[in-house]
Amino acid sequence: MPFLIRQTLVYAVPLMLVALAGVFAERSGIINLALEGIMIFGAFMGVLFVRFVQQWGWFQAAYDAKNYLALQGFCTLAILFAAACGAVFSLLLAFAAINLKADQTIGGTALNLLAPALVLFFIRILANQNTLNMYTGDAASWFMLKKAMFGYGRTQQMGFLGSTFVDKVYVATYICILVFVVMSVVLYKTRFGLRLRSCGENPQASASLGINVIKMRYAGTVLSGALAGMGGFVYVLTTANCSANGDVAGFGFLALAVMIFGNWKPLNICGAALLFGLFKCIAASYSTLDINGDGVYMLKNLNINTNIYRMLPYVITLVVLAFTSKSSRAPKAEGIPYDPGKR
Amino acid sequence: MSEYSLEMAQVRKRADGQWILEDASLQVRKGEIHGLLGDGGAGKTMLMQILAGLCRPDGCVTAKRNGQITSPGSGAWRKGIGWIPADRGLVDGYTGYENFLLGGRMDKTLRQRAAELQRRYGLMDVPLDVPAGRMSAYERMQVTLLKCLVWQCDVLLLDDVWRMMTCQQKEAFSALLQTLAREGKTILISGGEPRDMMAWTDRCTVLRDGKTVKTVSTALTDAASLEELMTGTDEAWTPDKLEIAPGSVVLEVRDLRVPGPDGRKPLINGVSFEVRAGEIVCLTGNDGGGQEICAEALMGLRPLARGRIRLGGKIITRASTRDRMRSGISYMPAEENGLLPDAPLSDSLVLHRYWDLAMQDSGVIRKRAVRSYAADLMEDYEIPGDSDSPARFLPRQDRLRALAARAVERERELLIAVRPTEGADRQTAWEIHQDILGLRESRKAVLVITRDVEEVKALADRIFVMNGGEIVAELDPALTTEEEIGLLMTTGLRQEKYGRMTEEDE
Amino acid sequence: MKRKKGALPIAWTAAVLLGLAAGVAVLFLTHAGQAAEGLGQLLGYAVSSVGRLGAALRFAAVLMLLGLGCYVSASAGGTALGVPGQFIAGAAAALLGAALNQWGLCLLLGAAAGCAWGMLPRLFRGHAAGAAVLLDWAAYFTADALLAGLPFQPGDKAARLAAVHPGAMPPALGGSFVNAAVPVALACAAAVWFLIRSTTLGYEIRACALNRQAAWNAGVRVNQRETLAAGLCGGLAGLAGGLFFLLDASTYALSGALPSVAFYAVPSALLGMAHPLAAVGSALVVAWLRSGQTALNKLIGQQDARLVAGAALYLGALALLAWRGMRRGK
Repeated sequence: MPFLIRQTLVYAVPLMLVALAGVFAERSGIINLALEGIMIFGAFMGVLFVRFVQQWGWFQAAYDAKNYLALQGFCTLAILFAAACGAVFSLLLAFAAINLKADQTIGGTALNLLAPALVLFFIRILANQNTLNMYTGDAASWFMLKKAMFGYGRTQQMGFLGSTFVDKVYVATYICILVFVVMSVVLYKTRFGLRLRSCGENPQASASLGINVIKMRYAGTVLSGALAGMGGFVYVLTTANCSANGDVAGFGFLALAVMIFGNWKPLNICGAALLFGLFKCIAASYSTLDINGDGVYMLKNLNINTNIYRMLPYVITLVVLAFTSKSSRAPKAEGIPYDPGKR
Repeated sequence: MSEYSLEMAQVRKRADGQWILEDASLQVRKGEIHGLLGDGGAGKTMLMQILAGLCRPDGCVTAKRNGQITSPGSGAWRKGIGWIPADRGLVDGYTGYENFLLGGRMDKTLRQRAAELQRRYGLMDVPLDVPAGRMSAYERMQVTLLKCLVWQCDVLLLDDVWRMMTCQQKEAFSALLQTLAREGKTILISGGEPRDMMAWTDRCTVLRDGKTVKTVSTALTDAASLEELMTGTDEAWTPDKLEIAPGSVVLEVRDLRVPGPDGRKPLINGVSFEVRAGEIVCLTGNDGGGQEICAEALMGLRPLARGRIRLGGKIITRASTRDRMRSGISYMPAEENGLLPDAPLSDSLVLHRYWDLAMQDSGVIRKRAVRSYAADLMEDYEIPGDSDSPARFLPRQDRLRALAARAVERERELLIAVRPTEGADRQTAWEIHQDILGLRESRKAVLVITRDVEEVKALADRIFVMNGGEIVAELDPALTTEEEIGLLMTTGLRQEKYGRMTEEDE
Repeated sequence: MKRKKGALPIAWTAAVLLGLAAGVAVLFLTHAGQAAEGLGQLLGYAVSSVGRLGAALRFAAVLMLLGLGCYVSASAGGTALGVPGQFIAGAAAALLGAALNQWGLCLLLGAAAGCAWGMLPRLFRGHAAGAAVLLDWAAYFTADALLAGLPFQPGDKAARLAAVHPGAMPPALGGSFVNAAVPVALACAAAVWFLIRSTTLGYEIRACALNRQAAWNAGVRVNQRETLAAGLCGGLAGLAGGLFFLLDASTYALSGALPSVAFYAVPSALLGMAHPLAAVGSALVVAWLRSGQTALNKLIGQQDARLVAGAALYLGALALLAWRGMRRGK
């Protein structure tokens, strides 16, 4: 059970963060289909950062001295770097959509194609193979929280809350949850968020109040890129052992789906992401799942085809969607390039 | 310190392939109510938007704000200017109060200031905690005005706001504007009716075809002169309406009810009326009155919860839209719903009959027939341009005429026209009215849905006023006044009843 | 002001040439010495032998159908997000029907499966785009499961489709190098062109994208027409999927094959979705370049060849996109 919850969070958290990234862009009036590409780019740059920093030996002393605080700080720096890179990458989309008034769905698709190509190209140059790994060690030993850090021995248990939320967990996941909550509040409860959203609903009325719609849309897209880049890096950190291979298994598109199902609202997105993460976790590890700790591997014994499990998250989400399918409330001025002179 | 708060000279602006403004100039004094008079398509809204700083001109010779040369559209220009459009001034999903928050610093005293302003200017009835999407158009405009006052704008730009007001509303609103002007605020208000300018403005600049014609003081002129300046001729543009005795009932509507969204109040309820051959019936009402919903229900575009519709004796309540069109109804939707903007004009011109046997053969379009039909239509109704170029590039006046031509050309038994002349200039409106009156002379039945009381008086043989989804009165145009129609549209009550009610309140 | 007629073919040609120039530039930048020879190989390989020309044409047929599907979808104002799923659904259906040993039937099955996959998201009303993405994934995994037990597998010559169910593969026409797939694709292009531009059905579909309200006011059954277009797009994509795998693909792991097909299909569709003729032309150009890329592989290595081809394809596609986007904004 603790494992189930932990793994659900591992899948769900990047998903909801990237879904929120989509919301930020769309609320300001720009459709951001490039979430996948930005995730890939952010993941790559984050891993690159980790790799180079390790190469330069900056945190090696901390690692040897088991200075876990410093290592978590290192991890956080990497996350911030990935976010910054995601933000920069999304500037391309912003420029194309806002200044060139290009079709936003196509611009996003173009970035989705550009990112893996670019990333793979650089990976091959840097590592002469298809995957970029950490320079030394692995994600678990460097960044994971373990019960040993809190003074527990190998055979001691931490109690339910402990083994679920503290042991074998990445702080990165919690950072993401924090960022998700903070950015949701920013979007819905601050004046900045109010103005950002007004640019998506009625850019003309906003402009008449002195709001610089163009700056706001740039802000929305750049924030979207930052969140997506962060999500991408945390995804590869927690599920791929901090290695980048130019692919995030379609997570970016999934985040789009989660965003649409969550009706552009953070709480709903959270729920959809958790649902999805739960089933993704089941799909990935159903044969080793011991739900109530009684030694019975129920799901394994059911002997269902692997692919059914892998399909399950998507189908379940579809079913839930079918029942909640009212008219979707997309922002009004979404996808329409801002034309100041329009009547 | 200059006496002028806004000055712009020789403004030029191009959009959609045409020069909308070629030589527009304006000088607005502080503390005055200045009118910008222009016919449909003259360029009023574009000039207002440039003055509000919403878009930049392609060129202008002078631009001064409070006497200082300032770049139009820059922060310095826009400071203190409030823009109040007829309808799209608020974010629909936010409440009025949330819309206020968009304007500046978060302030604990914001609510207090807003309440105080409401008291001071008699805007107590304006709802602030309702989402803007649920307000009426007039309320939205009032909230937008209040928003500008809350943020202490000294210049108020009102774009075509009189268009959706009844005469009672105009009086009350203009009294408010005069109070504001006396306090030193600068007010620039655009519109298309010389009488409004005469009644409510101090000075008036007339715009024609994108050029400023003249600036006059309204005390020294009259409506007829303004009209002449606005249109460039002294033609009266009054349509010729003959005496015609109506024939048999063509359209019979009984007890229509269209349910509202999510089980709320029905959009229209208990609507019944008849239209006879050789008569024009006008359904009029304010925003939310339900008259356009009626038209859509008659065309089969809205589900009916109750009611019966008969066309020439035949029941068509459950017929599809296509079948209704085949049975003899010609439908002229509002301009934004009538054309396919990015397709060749010929595609739009056959939108009402592409399924006709003349235009298609077992599902294959007869391209030559379509093109010749489009060419003939354009020639007969003198619409300039090329039927191959996108409809978007046709100027608005020609688009309106094309829509009318399309609807009127085949002389069907019943014409339903929705806002046929909204945004039209005098001449175009006259031409479209002539077309509609022509149908009437040919003993066809016409139902016109419009908000424009002038249009109602020009065309109607009978008037039905709607309010809140119900018909509140049937009027004879010869015996009613603009005021009465306006009152019914806003309150649903006749003068006597309204008078009694307000007396009781006192 | 008039829109210049005939601007699209010029822009398309310019974009293709621009892309080629970009590819050549990359070639010169990375392997200046072998550049001239490489260019010759790139451009000439496809026509260097009848067999290679046939292979290129077969691949072009698949790309054509995908481009046509995107064209139909765009005509109705829909998204092409569901195309990968429709492609896989069609492939799976066609392969499952291989036992019937009738290639025509297999292709029909593929088209039907793709069509269903195209129409399903429409059930989700406002969430059609999200549902399409989810269905992509559902197809991805379902297909792998369904096809696990097929009696034919790539790799072992004796166990390949050609040996097990030869009738299921579209045959070569009259013993020549042209496969039946090519006229099928061309016929679809003609049919789509005719349908969308010359029939009342196509007119209604286009109206839905041009002004949905106006179409509704004119009595067009907008929802139904949009669903129809989505189904047609799916049918074409499913047909493409069926063709691709029945033409003896090197792997029946559908999910694995998708990325490599996508690498070529996406620029082909981006270049081709403006017009059926563009879809045909783009497919031919892309297939031709892909063939040349295999030759380049041997000369300068796989990675660099991929780079050259990628630059040519994607820069060309993006150039056309930019042109279309800026034209729209005017």
